[in-house]
Amino acid sequence: MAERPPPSGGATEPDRLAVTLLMVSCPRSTAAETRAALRQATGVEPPEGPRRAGHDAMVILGVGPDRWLVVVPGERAFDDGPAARIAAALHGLALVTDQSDARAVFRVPSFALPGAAERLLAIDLDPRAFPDDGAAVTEAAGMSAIVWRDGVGLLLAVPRSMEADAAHHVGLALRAEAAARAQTGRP
Amino acid sequence: MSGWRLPSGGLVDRGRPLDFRFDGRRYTGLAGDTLASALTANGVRLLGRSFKYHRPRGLFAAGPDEPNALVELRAGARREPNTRASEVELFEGLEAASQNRFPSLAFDLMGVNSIVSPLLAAGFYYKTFKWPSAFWERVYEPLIRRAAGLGRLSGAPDPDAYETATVHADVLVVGGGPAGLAAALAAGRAGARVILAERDAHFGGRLLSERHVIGEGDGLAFARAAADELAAMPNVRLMPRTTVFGVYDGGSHGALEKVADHLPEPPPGLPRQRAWTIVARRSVVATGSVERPVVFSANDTPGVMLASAMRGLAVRHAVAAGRRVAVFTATDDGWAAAADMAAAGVPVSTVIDARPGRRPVPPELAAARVIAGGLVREAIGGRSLSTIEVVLPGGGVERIPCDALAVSGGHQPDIQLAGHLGHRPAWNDGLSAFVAGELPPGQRLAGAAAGRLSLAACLADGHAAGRDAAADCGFAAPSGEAPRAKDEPSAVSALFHVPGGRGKAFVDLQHDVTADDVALAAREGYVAAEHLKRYTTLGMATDQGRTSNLNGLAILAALTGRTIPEAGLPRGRPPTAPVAIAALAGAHRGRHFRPTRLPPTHEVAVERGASFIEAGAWLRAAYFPAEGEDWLAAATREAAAVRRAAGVTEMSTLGKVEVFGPDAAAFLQRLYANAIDRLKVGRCAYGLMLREDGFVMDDGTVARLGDRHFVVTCSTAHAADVFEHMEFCRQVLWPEMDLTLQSVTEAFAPLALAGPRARDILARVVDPGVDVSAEALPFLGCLEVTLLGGVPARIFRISFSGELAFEIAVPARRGADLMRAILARGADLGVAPYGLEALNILRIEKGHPAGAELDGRVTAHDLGLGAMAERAHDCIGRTLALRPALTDPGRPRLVGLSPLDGARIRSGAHLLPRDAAVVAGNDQGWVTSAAFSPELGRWIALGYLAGGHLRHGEVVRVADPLRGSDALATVGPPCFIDPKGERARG
Repeated sequence: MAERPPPSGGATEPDRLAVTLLMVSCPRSTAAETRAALRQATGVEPPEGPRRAGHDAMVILGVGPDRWLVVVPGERAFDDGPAARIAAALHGLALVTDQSDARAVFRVPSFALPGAAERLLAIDLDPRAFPDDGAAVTEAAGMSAIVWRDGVGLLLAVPRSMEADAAHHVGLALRAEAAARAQTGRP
Repeated sequence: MSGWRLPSGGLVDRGRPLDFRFDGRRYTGLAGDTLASALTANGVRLLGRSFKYHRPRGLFAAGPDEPNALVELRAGARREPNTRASEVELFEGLEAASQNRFPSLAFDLMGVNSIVSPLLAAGFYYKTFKWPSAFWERVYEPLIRRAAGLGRLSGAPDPDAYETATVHADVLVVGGGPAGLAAALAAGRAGARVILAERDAHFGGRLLSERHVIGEGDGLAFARAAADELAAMPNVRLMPRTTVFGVYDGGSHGALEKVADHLPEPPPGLPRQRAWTIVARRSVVATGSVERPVVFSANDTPGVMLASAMRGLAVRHAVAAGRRVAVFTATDDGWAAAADMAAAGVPVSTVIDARPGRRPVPPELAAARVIAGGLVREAIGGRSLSTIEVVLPGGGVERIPCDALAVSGGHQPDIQLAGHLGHRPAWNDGLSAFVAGELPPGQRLAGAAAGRLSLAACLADGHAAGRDAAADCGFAAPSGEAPRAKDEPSAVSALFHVPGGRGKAFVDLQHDVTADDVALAAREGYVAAEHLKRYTTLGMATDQGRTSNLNGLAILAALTGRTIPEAGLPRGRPPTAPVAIAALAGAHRGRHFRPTRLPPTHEVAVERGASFIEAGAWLRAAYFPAEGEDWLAAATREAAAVRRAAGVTEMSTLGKVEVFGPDAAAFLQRLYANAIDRLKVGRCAYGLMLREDGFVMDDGTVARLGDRHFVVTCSTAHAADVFEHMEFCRQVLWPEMDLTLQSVTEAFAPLALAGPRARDILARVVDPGVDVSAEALPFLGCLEVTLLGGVPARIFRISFSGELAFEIAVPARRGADLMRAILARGADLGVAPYGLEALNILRIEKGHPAGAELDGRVTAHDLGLGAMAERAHDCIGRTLALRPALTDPGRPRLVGLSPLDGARIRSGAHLLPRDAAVVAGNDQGWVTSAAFSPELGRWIALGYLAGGHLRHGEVVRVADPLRGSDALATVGPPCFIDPKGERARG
């Protein structure tokens, strides 16, 4: 996905994404089968370790041993679509829970990085520590967060119940970074 | 010289005058001034009053070591007390006021303390405020509170914003002086990610305040070129106005960036200050050294200053501290200071070197009188220095007129950051100072902080430290050559105290601790460094004893016949400089102090006019008041609606965990005290979880969705703890078990639909064809269905209220829709929304324990669930739950309490035998929860009573001395309504 310019007038407002999230985890005994079935159902190799794999239409994040978060753009319909397909493919092998309603996903645009992220996260976003295909389970402004990158920015999935606070802190970080750049003349 | 401003030189902008006010009077300074230098340039010497004796005080030091010139900065809501004038960058319109004086700085009535000072010696408050005891709270405490502290807070909400942020680096360099610049250049050139933090607005450190030659140019040019080169490196971040105040585990450092303190107010969108967490793989601490004064009589007289401070005024700010300046030194650096001042145009008349023997006199001081082997034993002048009394080498005493005295007793390397993780310093005889001993992991000291006082040594050491730190991080690109400078003399001698004067000789100027106080402490047995500190308050002020600790230890050592390290080792603790709590909180203030969790049906509660209550981080609907109702009336109506028709409430705050795998049942069997493995698919059970020590951890429900698939719920209060406990058991205790867990707490919106009409209403929201009859969904059954036209839902027939009830869990985004549908489609059947208050009433009527009852001190037997604890299967806590002490029938047991005569009792009240006096010895239990029962038409309560299960029918006294109530209540079983559970099963 190409870098996009900052949205006019909205550069400092939090960008909330509509995504479908499926958490997949499996007992040790079915790990290999689960991996294979997940690969088969998504066309994406489930990553080893804290990494992102996939493409615009289907992303799989490694969020723990034998544990992945599948991210599909767009809000999930309950009865069909890729989420239902994946759940069906993994039936009996793995625990698949629909976490679309459990997390709110915000994007911090690339042009506001790393400054805005420094105000939200404690992790190191340097490419050596957190490469483009990195993923992390961490905290953002005191809230649990799953973090990864796409081509447009840094994505934060925070608990749904804390969405309002998360939006507040993401907005604050974006505005603070914009103000700091304006003061120093940084682009 | 115009006034006290030197005609040329300095790093001030003579084309940018700045107006400011001090104590209401208008002055003019220059851009580049500090408040201290601007006041000195205007001839203002009296800047404050001392803490205890209210003695007149002037500027003493140049930075965070300044003990005297503390002012209230700014006005209105932005007023900040105890701000060091030496660290305040001057700005247009600055307002400052002196503090700790009444009515004025020049005439301070509290100066009477000096007259009665014999009564105010060290530790006087430990001896004075002992009797009569009636005075403790009414007289002594108010007096002490009034006398304590220095400046005043504004009392108004802080109008500024603050930020917290985290940044990572390979190499953190603390201090932007010559060693720090050399370190940053070496590490940056090697390719490492470098952060250079400097508390000053400008990089250069001593190069800004001293004359030096580095390479082919002067020191200032080097500093500017180095800063420019660093700024151009993409891998280097320069952080001026940033004080690294603490070292913590894992390479974490706390730092405070003063983003806008140098401005009248922060520009829009910018914080006033930013608290950084800097995480670095390696750190180079190049914090320099602190010049040590010499203790002698009246050494606090305005005009007596550290030589480095007076030198900085002259070289950096082009300000003369006096018109006839004397220098009292025990160091080579004191001579350099005198020469720099003379070169800048300051009239240096006398140099008194405590060391015997003649030394080469710099040409700038050719006109000055030199006294080798002399000692200044007293300063004279009251509010402004006029004369010093000098003991000459032959023993004679001479009074020498001067209006400023620069003192250089030695240099103490600034090693505070080396001690924050508990490492102790070591004594260095050559420096007569403490140096760092063992260092925290990844840290290295460089330059003066490492005891290398000459500029050449600082530059070489800094370069090596930066290069090595980068190499440790895997960066081995060439770092270039170390900058070169002349290796100037930097010898010191061990001079701490000149006795013999008539006045007070101050060791700690900020806390008014004198050499006599140290002697008194020694006489009274406080001979350990930490005891001396606490008895006299030496080193406990906001300057952290930078200029006082070593002198205090030296005097104590001399008095007790020990060496200085035998007398004690200074220990540094963070923060090294005051940090505003607001900066640490950052954006987490007010409503955003912590995250507020909103349940999925929050918007419905808002629409319905609910009153909300904070339950942990959750904001929950407490009750839904109708016109004119208070909380009790609303909650009573809602509870009654549940008993007589139906009610719906939000339950999503409960923890929810799915358990899946071949060993899921066996896993839960080990976690819960009751048998889970026999639970059939499509059935639910109550679950009681014990801690390892046998006490109750939590309770909830377990539902079996499939042969290898369960979902468990736990209480709101323990949701996170229970999930963590389960993961700990899975990953650590029983890694051989084959299963997986996921929290689905946030994914679902479970609503409890309860009441005799609940099934009828449920039938109106499920999709056609879904059977929710008692046969299809019996008590403790569960179903996976669809409702509202295809929304997947799980329905559990469980009841917290004791009524026919269904817990309906839908995806969280549809929770509000479901609640609206239930309220709309069940309106004709009398359904009402109910909140936390009604929920509490209903569960108290049924005797169901909740957070108030599950307080961590309770056993299964206490709850009346002893049979669960005594089951045969093994589970966490089983063995210890059967300890005699935990099954003792005399332990407090859960009971129901019915007050006589309709009296109201409240949670927290004490339970005593009926005729016993209300004293602790008669205490037999307490009330945990109380409610007005609409079903019974009276107040009821739950509580723990010693042997309570054997005392049903007994009348006990319910005393609540805090709220002034005293009642009698009949003890009974905890369940007040439908003890056989027929309603829930119906």
